[in-house]
Amino acid sequence: MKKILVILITIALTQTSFGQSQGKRIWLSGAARNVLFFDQYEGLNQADTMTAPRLNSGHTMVDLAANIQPNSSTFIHGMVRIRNDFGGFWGAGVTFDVRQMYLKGIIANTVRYQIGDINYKLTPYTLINPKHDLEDIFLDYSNVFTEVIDYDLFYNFNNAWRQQGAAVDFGLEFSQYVSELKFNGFISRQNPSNFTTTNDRLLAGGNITMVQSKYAEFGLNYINMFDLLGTADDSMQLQNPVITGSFNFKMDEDDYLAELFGELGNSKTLVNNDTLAPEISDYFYDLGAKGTYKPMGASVQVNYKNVGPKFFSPGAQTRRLDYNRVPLGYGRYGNLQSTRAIGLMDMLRDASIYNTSLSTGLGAFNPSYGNATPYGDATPNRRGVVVKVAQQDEKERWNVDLETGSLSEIVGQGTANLRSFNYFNARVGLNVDKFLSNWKKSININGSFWSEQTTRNSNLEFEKVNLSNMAMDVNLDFEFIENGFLLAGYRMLTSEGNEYTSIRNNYNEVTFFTPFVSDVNETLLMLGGRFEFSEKSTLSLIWSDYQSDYPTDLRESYRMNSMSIIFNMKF
Amino acid sequence: MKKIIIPFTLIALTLFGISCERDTLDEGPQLVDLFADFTFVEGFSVSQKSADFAAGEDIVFNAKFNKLASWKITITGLTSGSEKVIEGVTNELNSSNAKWGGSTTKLPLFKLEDCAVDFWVLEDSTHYYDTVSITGTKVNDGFLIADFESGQLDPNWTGFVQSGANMSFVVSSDTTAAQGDFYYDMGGAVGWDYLIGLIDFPASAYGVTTYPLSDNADNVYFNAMIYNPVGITNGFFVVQFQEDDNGDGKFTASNEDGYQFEIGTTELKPGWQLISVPYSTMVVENQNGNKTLNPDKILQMSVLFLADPTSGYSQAYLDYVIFTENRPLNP
Repeated sequence: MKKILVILITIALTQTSFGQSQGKRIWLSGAARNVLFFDQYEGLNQADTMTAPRLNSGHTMVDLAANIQPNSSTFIHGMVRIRNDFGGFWGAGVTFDVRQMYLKGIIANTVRYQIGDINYKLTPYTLINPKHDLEDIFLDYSNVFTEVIDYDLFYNFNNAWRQQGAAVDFGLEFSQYVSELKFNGFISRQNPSNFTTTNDRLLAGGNITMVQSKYAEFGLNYINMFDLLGTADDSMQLQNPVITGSFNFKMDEDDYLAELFGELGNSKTLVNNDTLAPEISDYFYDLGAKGTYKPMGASVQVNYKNVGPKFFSPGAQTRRLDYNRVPLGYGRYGNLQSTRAIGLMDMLRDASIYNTSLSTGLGAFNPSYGNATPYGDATPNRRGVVVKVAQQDEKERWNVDLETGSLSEIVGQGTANLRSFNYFNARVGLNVDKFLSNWKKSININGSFWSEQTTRNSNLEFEKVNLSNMAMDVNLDFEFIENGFLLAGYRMLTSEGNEYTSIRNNYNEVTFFTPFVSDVNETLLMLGGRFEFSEKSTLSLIWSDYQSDYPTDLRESYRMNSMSIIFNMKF
Repeated sequence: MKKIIIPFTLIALTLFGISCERDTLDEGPQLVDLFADFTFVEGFSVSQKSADFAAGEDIVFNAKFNKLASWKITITGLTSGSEKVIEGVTNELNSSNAKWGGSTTKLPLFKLEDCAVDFWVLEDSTHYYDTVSITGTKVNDGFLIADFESGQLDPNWTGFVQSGANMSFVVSSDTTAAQGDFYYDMGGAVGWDYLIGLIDFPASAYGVTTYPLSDNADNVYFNAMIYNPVGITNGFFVVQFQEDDNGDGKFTASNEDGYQFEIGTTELKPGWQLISVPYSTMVVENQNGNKTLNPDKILQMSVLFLADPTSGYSQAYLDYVIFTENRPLNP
C-alpha cells in the first residue's frame, strides 16, 4: 500500500510539472489528521464490574486530492482517504476510500455546472442542513472538535447537504423592470435500487430568483424526492414535492436598514400504487421583519411562522443528529451493559451519530436537547413568534445575540389540548484583548444560556406535559504565547419533567406515544491548549471531565475523564 | 414598479392564505385510550328483555367507556346451548356495533328460549350478567332444502341405504339439533362399499322443475349443518348436483352436467358445524352438457354419506340444508 501511494504521488507530482509546462494546471491538496482519545470511565451509582475502566481510541488519516484544471473552464477534483484506526498495524485496520470526486466548469461562459459530489442548499423549508441540537448554545471550543466532525461529514459548507448528482446554474441580466434572473437546479440520488424491492430514490429541485432591484427580490423554489419507477421490481412510488415562494424587501437608508421577508409554500406526500398510503398535503408560511440601526450594529428581527402538522419536506427536516444510534465509545455500559444514550460529550466528538443522507421520515430526537424545533425552522405542527435581537460592537469588543420564541402546536397530539413551547437563548462574546490597548494577543470569553419550557395543560393528569430544559456554556480562549492558546470551558445541561415522544409509521403518521420522563444533569469541564503552527495546521490537547447524572432515572449515572490529542493539517 | 410590487405581494399572500385548508384532527391515537384508567361513563344495559327476531326485532346492548376498550358479549341459549359472541374495541356499545338480531356464532341455532347475557371488558375485572328471552327465532333468507322439522323424511325425497350393520338413516329428535328439534342421522357399517347411504332432494319435491336459484354460480352458496360425533373420523359426505341443461325435465349423464363437492368429517371439529360452499367452486362429476355451472338448472341434489369399507362404523348428522344467494348463510 505504501509503495502504491509513493508511486501515485510521484506520478502526480511529475504530471504537475508537466501539466504546468503545457499551460494546464494540476496540483495536489488535502488534509491530514491524528486524533487520540484516552477515556477513563467510572460508574456513579454502584461499582461497575462489567465496563472496562479505560478505553483508548483514535485514528490517523490523510486525505489526498488531485486537482486538475485541463482548461480555463473545467476543473476536476478527486480525493482519496487513507485512514488507520488506533491499533491497526501493517495494513490491518487501514481503510482506503474515495472521499469525493467531482467535475465542474462553465459552458460558454454562461452556464455553470458540477457533476459528482455536490453541496446543495435551497431555503430553510426546502433543502437545508440544519444545525444540530444545541449547536447555537454549546460553543465550539475554538473549533477543536467541531472542525473534525464538520470536515468528515461535509457539514462545513454553509448548511448545505452533501449530495451525489449534478447541478447547474446560470443568470440573466436585464436593463429594465427586472435587474437579474438567477436559475439553478440539481438532481441527486438518495438511495440506490436493489433491483427487487427498492427503486432508485432521487431528489431534484431548484429555484428561480428574481432580483427586481436593490429593494426587492423574489424566489420560486421547488424540490421533490421521488422514486424512479422501473429501476426495481416494485410498483410503489414515493413522491414528496415541496414548492415555496420567497420574497425580500429592503429599505436601506443611511443609518437604518429595514427588511421584510418571508417564505410560504406547501408540500404533498403520496405513495403511488400503495393502497395503504394516505395522500398528505399541508402548507406553511414564515413571515419576518428586521430593522437594523447601523451605528450601533444593533438589529431586531421578528418572525411569525405557521408550519402545518402534515408539512413534510425531507430536504429541510432531516436531522443531523440521529438519536437511534449508539455512541462509538462505551456504547454499552454499567453492570447491565445498557445502551448508553447520546450525551454532550458524544455530540462534541463522535461523528458516527450524525446523518449524512436525507430521510423521508421524521427522525428520532431527544426532547431534553431541544423540543421546540427539533427539525429546524421546518419543524411541522408549530406556529408562533420568534424574536431575535443582536448587537455587535463596531470595534469588535463584544457581540450579543438574544433569541426568544413562543410557539405552540397547531393540532394536538393524542388530545385536543396543545403544547406550548417557550424558549430563550442568549450568546455573548467578549474579545477582552480589544479592551486592552497594550495587549496584542487574543483573549476571548464566550458565554451562552438556553432555557426552554414545554407545557401542555389538561384536566387529565396523563395528558399534562411539563418539561424544563436549561443549558449554559462558558469558555475562555487565551493566547498566552504567540499562536499558543489556553482553552478552558464549562458546559452544563439540566432537563426535568415529562413529555411524550411520537412513534411514526412509514407514512409519517403518528401511531403511538411513548411517555418520556426526563431527569438528567450533564456537565462537561474542559481544559487544554492549542498551538497553531500555521493557519492550516494546529495541535490541540484537551482534558475533559464529563458527568451524566440521572437522579431518578433507571439509567446508570457515569463519569468519563478524557484526554484528547488532535492534530489537524490542511495543505 | 416599486408601487406595484408590495400590493401585489400582499394580494398574493392573502390569496395563499384563503386557498389553504388544513385538517385539524388531532395527530395519533388518543392519549386517553393509551394511558387513562378504565371507567364506565354509562353502565351496561340491554335495550329490551325479549325480542321476536322473526318479526325483525333486535336487541341492542349499550355502554359507554372513558376510553377505547376491548369488550365481549356472549349470549348463551339456556335450552339450546347456542352461543352468540359480539366483540369489539370501541369506547361505546350501541346499535352500530352491539346489535343482536338472533344470529348464532356457535351452533346450534337459538330456539324460543331464555338466554344468558355475559359482558366482559378486558380492561375491567368486573363481569356483567343479564338475561333476555327469544319470542321468535331469526328467519334466514334462502331456498330451504331440508330442516327435518316434520319429524320424518319428506316422501318426495328418495334415498338408498345399504343393508349394513347398525344402519340408522332416520330423522332423530334432540334439543341440541342444529336447528329446531330434528335432524337426519346417517350412520352404519358397510364392509363391501364406500357408500353407506344417500338421500336425493329432487326439485319436484318443492313443486318446481329446477331449483329456484340465481343463474350466477358465484352468487349461490350451498349451506348445511353437519354434526361429527366424537371419535368418528372415517366418514365423508359427497354432495352431488344434477343440472337439467337441455330442459327436458330429467337428468341424462351422457349429455348434461353433473357437479359435486366432498367434505370429510376429519375436516370438521366435533359438534355441529356450518359448511358454506359457493356453487362456483363445485368440481366436475361429468360435463357432457353446456359445461357451465348453472345453479338455476339444478334438477336434483343428492347427499351421499360414505366411509372406507375397512374402517368400520361411521356416523354423521345432517340438518338445515339451505341455498343462499349473494353470501353464505349467517345463521
